[in-house]
Amino acid sequence: MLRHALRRLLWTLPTLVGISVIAFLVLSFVPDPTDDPALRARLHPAELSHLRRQRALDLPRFLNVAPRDVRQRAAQAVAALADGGGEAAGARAELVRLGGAALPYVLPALDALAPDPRARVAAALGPVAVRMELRRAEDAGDPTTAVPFWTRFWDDRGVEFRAAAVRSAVQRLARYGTATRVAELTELDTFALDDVITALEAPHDVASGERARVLVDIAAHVTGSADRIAPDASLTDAGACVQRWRQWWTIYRSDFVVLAGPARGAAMLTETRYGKWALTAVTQRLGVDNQGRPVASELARRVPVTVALVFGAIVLAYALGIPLGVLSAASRGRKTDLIIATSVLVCYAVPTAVLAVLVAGRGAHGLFAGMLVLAVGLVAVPTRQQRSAVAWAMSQDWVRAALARGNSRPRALLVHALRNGLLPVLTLASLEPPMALGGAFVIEHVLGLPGVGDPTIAAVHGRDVAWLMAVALVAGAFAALGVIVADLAYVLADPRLARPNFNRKRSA
Amino acid sequence: MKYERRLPGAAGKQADPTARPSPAGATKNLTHWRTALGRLLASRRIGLALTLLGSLGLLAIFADLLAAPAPLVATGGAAGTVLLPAVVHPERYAGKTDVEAHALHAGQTALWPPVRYGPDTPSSAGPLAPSSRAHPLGTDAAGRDLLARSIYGARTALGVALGAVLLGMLLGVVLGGLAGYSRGFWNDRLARLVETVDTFPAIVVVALVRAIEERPSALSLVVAVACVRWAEVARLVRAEVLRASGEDYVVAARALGARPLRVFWRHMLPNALPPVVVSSVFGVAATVLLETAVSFLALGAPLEAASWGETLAQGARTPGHARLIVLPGLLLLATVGGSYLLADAMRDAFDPRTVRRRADELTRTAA
Repeated sequence: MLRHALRRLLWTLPTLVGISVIAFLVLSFVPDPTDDPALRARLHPAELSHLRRQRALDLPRFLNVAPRDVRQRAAQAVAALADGGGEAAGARAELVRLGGAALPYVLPALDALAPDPRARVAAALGPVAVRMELRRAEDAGDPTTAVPFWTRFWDDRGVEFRAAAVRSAVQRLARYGTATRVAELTELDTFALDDVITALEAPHDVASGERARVLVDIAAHVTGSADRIAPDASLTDAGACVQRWRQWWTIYRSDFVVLAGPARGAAMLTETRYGKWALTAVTQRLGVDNQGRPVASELARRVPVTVALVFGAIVLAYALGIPLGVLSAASRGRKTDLIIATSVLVCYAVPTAVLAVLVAGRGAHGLFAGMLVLAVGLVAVPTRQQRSAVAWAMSQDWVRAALARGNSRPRALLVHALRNGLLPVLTLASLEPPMALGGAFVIEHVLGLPGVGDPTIAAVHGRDVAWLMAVALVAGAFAALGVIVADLAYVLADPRLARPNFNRKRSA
Repeated sequence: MKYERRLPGAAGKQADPTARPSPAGATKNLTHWRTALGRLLASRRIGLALTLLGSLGLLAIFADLLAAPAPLVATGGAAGTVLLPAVVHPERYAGKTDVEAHALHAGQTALWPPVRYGPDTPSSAGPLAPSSRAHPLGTDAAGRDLLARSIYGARTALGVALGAVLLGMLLGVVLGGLAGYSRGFWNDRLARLVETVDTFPAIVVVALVRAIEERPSALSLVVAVACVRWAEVARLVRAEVLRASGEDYVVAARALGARPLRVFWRHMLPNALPPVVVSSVFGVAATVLLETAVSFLALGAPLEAASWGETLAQGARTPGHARLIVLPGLLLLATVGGSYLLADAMRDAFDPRTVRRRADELTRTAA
């Protein structure tokens, strides 16, 4: 039985992935702010494409057949520059942005170009030389001297543009952190970015804070960003900055690395909108919501309230409903039965919202009041089910036999009929939480409980994909767990059900 | 077959002219469905349930005749005689206040509906007006006639619930049948899928669907609820298909050369239908409550259609106007209570276990 439970537990993982895929598919149709025609008209195309890039809207949803890496981007920019058309300015900026990471693909290819385009491309790399703080960098920007400058540079230093060399340079920097090491990495420019960001850790003490500061400085320098860690920044601020840089890297990584071999295969999945979301969700604890709060910590604060509300209400309702059902079955056809049936019906049909508003109007607040209100609507189902189950069991031969053996009627009812009648009621209990969640949202809203409901409503209005995805995942996780718990509860209530599982195990 | 003759309703069946002639004799018409129907009609609950649901259904269907900003029939004037102008030309009344709409028919001989206001346009009485001759129940927080909104709210509630439940039933029967017929790998996967969807909260699905909509519609609510509801139906159908596959009558039908689809349709589905119908009627109650919750919480932009939940939300925001809570509350009580009673009565009527029990009791009392 334990193995069965474990197997089912493992199956929740693919289930959750499936739920996230479906939820993501639905949410990928969320109208994005950048789709708004008014905004489109106001923004510069470059700004617009930047915004869309940030939201990964330039990528396909689930499968990227041809992910673009630094090599393709560099080749495209060089081609546009050599062409010298209207896109030359954009290509120049792109080449500068790609920087050192593009050099291994741009510089060796210079020879293949005609003299004129060659000079244009080499001169376009001028700002990169300045950024790399090379000696006589002004030569690199001058069309007449740029080509010899870069040719010499590649002959002298091309050997440094190797993954292993960069890795050891970053390690040296992390260990010694001196100005020479910084200069070493500055000269590699964006080529070192992959290792720099990988080495970046959330700081936890002064030494690691200093390390993070130096690494962020390099990253900010080569990308021209202003997002640095101030020398007197607190650890929290530094951590947030590191987090922002990681987030930036999940979006822009493919601009600065080469995708080849297995990495290319992986990029076909990760360089997609779903891939970006999943990467953020796994590495950064479900990302941040529209207000910039981390989703995971917000969920950790709010999910317990909702779960306590729902499960507390269900336990209350079943604790009340099962005895009521048995009582109802015992007094079948009499006045008690009718009274119970009518009152649970009314309880079921009174909308939770009405009850919650009435309770809130009397000044009652807090979790327990919410549980009571929610439980009112849930009493009917177990009561009716228990009634019919016990009524059926009472007409069965084994109960009749128990009575014939001289058992008292209450004993026959409680010992023989109840246990058999419990099984269908437990099935129902496992189906109850998803139904009760709607009521729980209403109660949280009216009574002001800090549950999942209110941020979810806000997320629907604000079209907050990160939060909605997280809520769908949490709901799916509870759904999957609920199924397993119900399965186990069956076996506890009726040991006969355990046998088929064992048999299957043995034959397998 | 002592008890069968005592069943109410069974006696009338003999004279039924549409009954297929059969050589079996006097018990020919006592099919399971007929006995179930007989038991259903004999139940006391069913009268109450049908009264409640029937009157609400009539409200929903004939809402246009009960409350409209225009007359039912108007003669005279330039247009000649017009029938139900508010239904035929809704654009003429869109965005017009009641005074403007009524002015369109000034000087005509007109037969007005009992409530002379539509559910959408604010009336000249202003917001939260107390009850008066013009507005028997007053107006809501947006100045719209409360009675008209309540009447049209029945249409939204029942329309959404019925649509979602029927769509879910259709999906559930198809997918449940497939799940029951599939073997091996897919059998297990489909079973897991059904279980997972069955325990997935509908309100989260509604939230997801509402988030991607530009203009929220009642249809999206229908689709969202059906996306979750099919699983319960599929579970029941699948269980019945699995059970029936080994039964002699199915084996016999197969041996006679019936195709799987025919076996499913003629021999399996009829047995699966009673629990499916019962669960669907319960589903109507649950969907009405869900629709109320969604409108109450204003999940997504407000619906254009009138909804009881929205009125409740207004009542929650403006304390001191109890009628905004009591009226939709009572209507919901009637709808949900009616569906619940109907489902409960149907469950007892269809359940063969209760039949046996009744027979048991009858013989016991006779003895």
